[in-house]
Amino acid sequence: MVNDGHANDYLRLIPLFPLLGALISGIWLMFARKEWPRSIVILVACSAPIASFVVAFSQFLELATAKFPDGRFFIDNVYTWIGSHSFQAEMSFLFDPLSAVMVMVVTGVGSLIHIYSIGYMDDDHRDDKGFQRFFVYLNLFTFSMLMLVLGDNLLVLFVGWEGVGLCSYLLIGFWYLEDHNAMCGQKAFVVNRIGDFAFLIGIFILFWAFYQAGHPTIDFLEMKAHIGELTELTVPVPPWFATIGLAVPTWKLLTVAGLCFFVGACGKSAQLPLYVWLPDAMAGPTPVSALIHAATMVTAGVYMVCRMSFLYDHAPGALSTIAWVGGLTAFFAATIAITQKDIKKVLAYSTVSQLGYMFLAAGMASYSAAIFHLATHAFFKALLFLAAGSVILGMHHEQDMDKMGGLRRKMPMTHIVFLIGVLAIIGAPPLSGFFSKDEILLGAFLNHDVPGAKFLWGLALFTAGLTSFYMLRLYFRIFTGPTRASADVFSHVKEQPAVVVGPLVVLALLSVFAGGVMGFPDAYGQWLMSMPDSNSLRHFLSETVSTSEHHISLGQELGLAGLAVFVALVAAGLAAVLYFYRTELVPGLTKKLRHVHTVLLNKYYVDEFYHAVIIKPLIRMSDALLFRVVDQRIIDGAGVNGIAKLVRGIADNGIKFAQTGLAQTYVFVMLIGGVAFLAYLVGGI
Amino acid sequence: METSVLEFTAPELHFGTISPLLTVALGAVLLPIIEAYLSRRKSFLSRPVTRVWIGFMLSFISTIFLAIALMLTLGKLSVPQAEVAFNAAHPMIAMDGTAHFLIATILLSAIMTILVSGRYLADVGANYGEYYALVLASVLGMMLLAASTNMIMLFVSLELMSIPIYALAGFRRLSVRSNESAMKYFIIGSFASGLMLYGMALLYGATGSVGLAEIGTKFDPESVLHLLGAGLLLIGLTFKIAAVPFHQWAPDVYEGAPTTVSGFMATAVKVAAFGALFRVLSLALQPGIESLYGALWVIAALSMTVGNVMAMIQRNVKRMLAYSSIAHAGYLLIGLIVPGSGGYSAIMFYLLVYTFMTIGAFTVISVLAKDHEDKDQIDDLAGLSVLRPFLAFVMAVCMFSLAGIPPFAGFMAKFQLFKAAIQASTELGDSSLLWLAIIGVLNSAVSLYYYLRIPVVMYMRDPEREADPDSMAGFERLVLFVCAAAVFVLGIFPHDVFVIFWDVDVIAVVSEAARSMLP
Repeated sequence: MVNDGHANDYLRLIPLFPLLGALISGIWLMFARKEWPRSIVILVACSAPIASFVVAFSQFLELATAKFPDGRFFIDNVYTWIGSHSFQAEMSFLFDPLSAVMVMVVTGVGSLIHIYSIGYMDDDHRDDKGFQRFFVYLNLFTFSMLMLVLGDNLLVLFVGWEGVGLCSYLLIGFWYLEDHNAMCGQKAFVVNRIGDFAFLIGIFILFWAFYQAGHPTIDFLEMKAHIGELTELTVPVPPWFATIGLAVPTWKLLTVAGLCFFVGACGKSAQLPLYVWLPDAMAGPTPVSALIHAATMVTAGVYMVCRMSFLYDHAPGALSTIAWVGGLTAFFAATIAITQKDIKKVLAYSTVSQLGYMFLAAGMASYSAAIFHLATHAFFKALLFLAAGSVILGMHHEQDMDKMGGLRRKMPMTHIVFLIGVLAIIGAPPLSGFFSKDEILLGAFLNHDVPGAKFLWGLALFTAGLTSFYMLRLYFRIFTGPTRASADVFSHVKEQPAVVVGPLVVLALLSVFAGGVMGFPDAYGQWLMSMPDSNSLRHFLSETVSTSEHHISLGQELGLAGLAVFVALVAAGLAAVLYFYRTELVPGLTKKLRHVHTVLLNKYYVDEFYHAVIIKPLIRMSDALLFRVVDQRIIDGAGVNGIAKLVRGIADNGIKFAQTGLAQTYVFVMLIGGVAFLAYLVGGI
Repeated sequence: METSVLEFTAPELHFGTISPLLTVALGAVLLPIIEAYLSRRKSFLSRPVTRVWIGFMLSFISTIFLAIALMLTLGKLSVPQAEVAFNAAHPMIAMDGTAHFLIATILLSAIMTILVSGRYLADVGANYGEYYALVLASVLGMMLLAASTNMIMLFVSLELMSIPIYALAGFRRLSVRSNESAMKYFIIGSFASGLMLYGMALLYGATGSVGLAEIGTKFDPESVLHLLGAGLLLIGLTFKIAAVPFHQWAPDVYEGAPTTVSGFMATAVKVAAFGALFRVLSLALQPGIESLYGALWVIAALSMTVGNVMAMIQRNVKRMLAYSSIAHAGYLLIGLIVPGSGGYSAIMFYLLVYTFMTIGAFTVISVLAKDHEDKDQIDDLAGLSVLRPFLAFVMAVCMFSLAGIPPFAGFMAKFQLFKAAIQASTELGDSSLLWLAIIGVLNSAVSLYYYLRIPVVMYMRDPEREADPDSMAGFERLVLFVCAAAVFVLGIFPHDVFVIFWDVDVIAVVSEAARSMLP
């Protein structure tokens, strides 16, 4: 498959650096059991993602400028991982526009967060010697994430997929001495397992289908080339299905596979109904929340759906499901975010909501809009989290916004970058969020394939208003008004050092400018600069993912954008009134809407519902039946221990007696054995 | 024309072909002289001569000889055509791909053994110079054995291999157990040699030739005399690999012998003996393979089962490893009765992997020896992960690999072996090989019980004693690292070992090597 011009041996370096960082530092930690001096830890840990970024950037330029007659991509085939009869899995990396954008985000934002972590973890108030351990996990995460986005086939992607899940678990429960943190890590891991299981089934189904079609492959490029041959396949049903009178369903195989993959994406990217782990994942250190649970790992599901877009193009049913789940999640999470008090929880629900936007875009088949929003979201959400981390540091690990307020003068830099992040996420023109959200709304507005697309567009527009409301609420509650913190705490608040603020400034600049630079809509480009292809990201990505060409007049584009900005402004005004000018109105309003407020504050009781309906019965049944009867009696009693006892008994009572330790016995046994051997030979004629 | 028995043809010596053998032979001859020279001097190059220093020098020199031989062998691995040394019409040895691969494995095992021996011998008070000469002499015997194509050469090289090993087993002269070990091995080994010699005599009497290939042309599976000869010959060789029912010496000998020697015996001897089994079965006994098949099937099944079951109840690590080596001999025998080159190549890969993991495990035990005493009870390993984390890690890797857990090489090796058996059974439509593979898989499951006990004891029990001062020599560290690394690398990249340095597809090398031997 690899043609000349596509081979590129540098790609393997990109995941290699973080892997080496994690291995060197981790193996040392494992055997020596004492930490390096911090300067060396920092040197090893931070140089790894930066080196990856440099390599990735150079290859990105190469990719963007080189001429390819047959598709724009690089491939680096490292070795054959599994070589079986008809099944080949290469350990190889694919660097096409889609993965290039992802790699740039992962290594770029990752590097900044590594640097920020130096400052954040240094101030660790807990008596924990986890500085080096933290960076080992962080490097390992970067490695896994790069495997995920660079993988050339489903298996490599899955390795990365599981790797990031593991690192997420390790980092959420990083301060494992507190039970709560360990529980949160476990919750994330278990919920993700559900998604991963479906993802695996999807891989199996797809591989089986390709095998039936005569192309046993899991390689993305090959799958893309042969996907057309699978469109007619339906899910095979065992014959007894019909004989017992059940209606034989004729599910399209690609739709089923697509849905399986999407369930996997729901787990990883925290969509309905598997989003419950993400808010709890905020138990981890804040840089982790920024890197893993906002900028990179949780977007893996979006990336995967875009990567599999060749499949979804043939599975419109699955695509509509994605759009609906995405749209509903966006709305649902935004409503919860309005009432939360913990600043990280607000940001977590906001992340869920924004991920919903991305899936909405992917479901509307505007994959490039999804990736565009993924990239800008990575910048401004990482910025918001890191700025929130700076606030949390300043407030001595206080996260409740009821105990904040008035920090504007105390932390001027943090205040400015946080405000920029807020403006970016609510879509204030011309910040990056404006362009990316606009492209999503446009895609939804113009879509005719998804049933109820117009309704989803309206819902997304309304959610944009909600976003604007809760983000400004967050901003006003933290930075303005009289402080609600105790005088002692407030007097000690001060701006953070450069190692913390520096990355914030870089991310702030990206949040402001990246959107316009990457995805300036063609219509505006034509109008302002007479450049018909100013949406460079979209054109870049169109070589990998299918993008529907929507021809739209400048007036329509401007009208839609204006509408979105108007909705956001109204909501922002409402927030300003309630939380800045007339804060005394809030208690009365809360009382009037107390039923709604209680439901929202308790996050629709979803956790309680899951606990009562799924977890409790499961635990009861496991304890009563699986543990006491199946495990203890049958497997342990009769199975494992029984057989072990039997075998030991044979050894103890039988064969052992032959092992007398006397050479005479041995020779005698040998003689008997030899005679039997020869008798068998000769007698067997 | 009548040819006289006394007619003598001068051997044609191809020095290039036998250069690895010559190098080792030269080393074996020179080492005692060097030792004698060094130990008569008070100082050498203005350095006082001590026993420890002599030991170091000798291990250094012997490593150089072995390393040169290894380089020469590896250089020939890429040219797997048979190179016949001595007389082309009546070849004594055939230096083909199989021989080169096995010789390389033997040399690797010997080098690692010698590197870890110096400190251990000094520690247990057996630091005598003849150790190295004995190892080299034995290695020479092994190399010849793996390549021999003639019954006379087979017997001579077998004895050349065994006699130094008897001496090595009893090398701790002051230890009763070591002496017992050597004595037992010698007596039982002589008995086995006698049986084998008798078998050779019968075969010669029946066929009139000593060359394995010539015997093959005349072998008559219908004749009792032929079968008796073949059977006795096989008994002698299966004794050397410690297959049931000719296995009982192994636990006693491995336990009593110096630990480094046990590792050497468990690996290099097995490699050489399998080389001889390859030759005997593929050249001489090929026509009778059908009638031998059943007997070997039973021996393989018995070895796996008895070895694993007995290993479960051992308290001594060296005894446990001895039974485990019996079980591994059983697995390896599966490959021997798989027709075609698939089984042979699987065996060769297995032997290479087995060498690394076994030497690794025995080395860990030898490093633990302290105050003239082996610390080889399983309980001695309690809490090793805290006391000596590196040792515990290497030991755990070796145990996981021996048990055949992916991604370690032991898994890949077993996988190749069972795959060959299952493939052959589907091709031939004969389910007996499939059953043997199933027995093998079940036995692997049993073996988990005792292999995993070691990591459990090391990682989950609290140490019962104070931490020893870390007295490991650099060479020991190196060997342990190499073993652990090889177990990882061969398990993960069996097709491209050393991706980073140069491409070696070990699987392709062994299958190429195996094909080179078959007529």
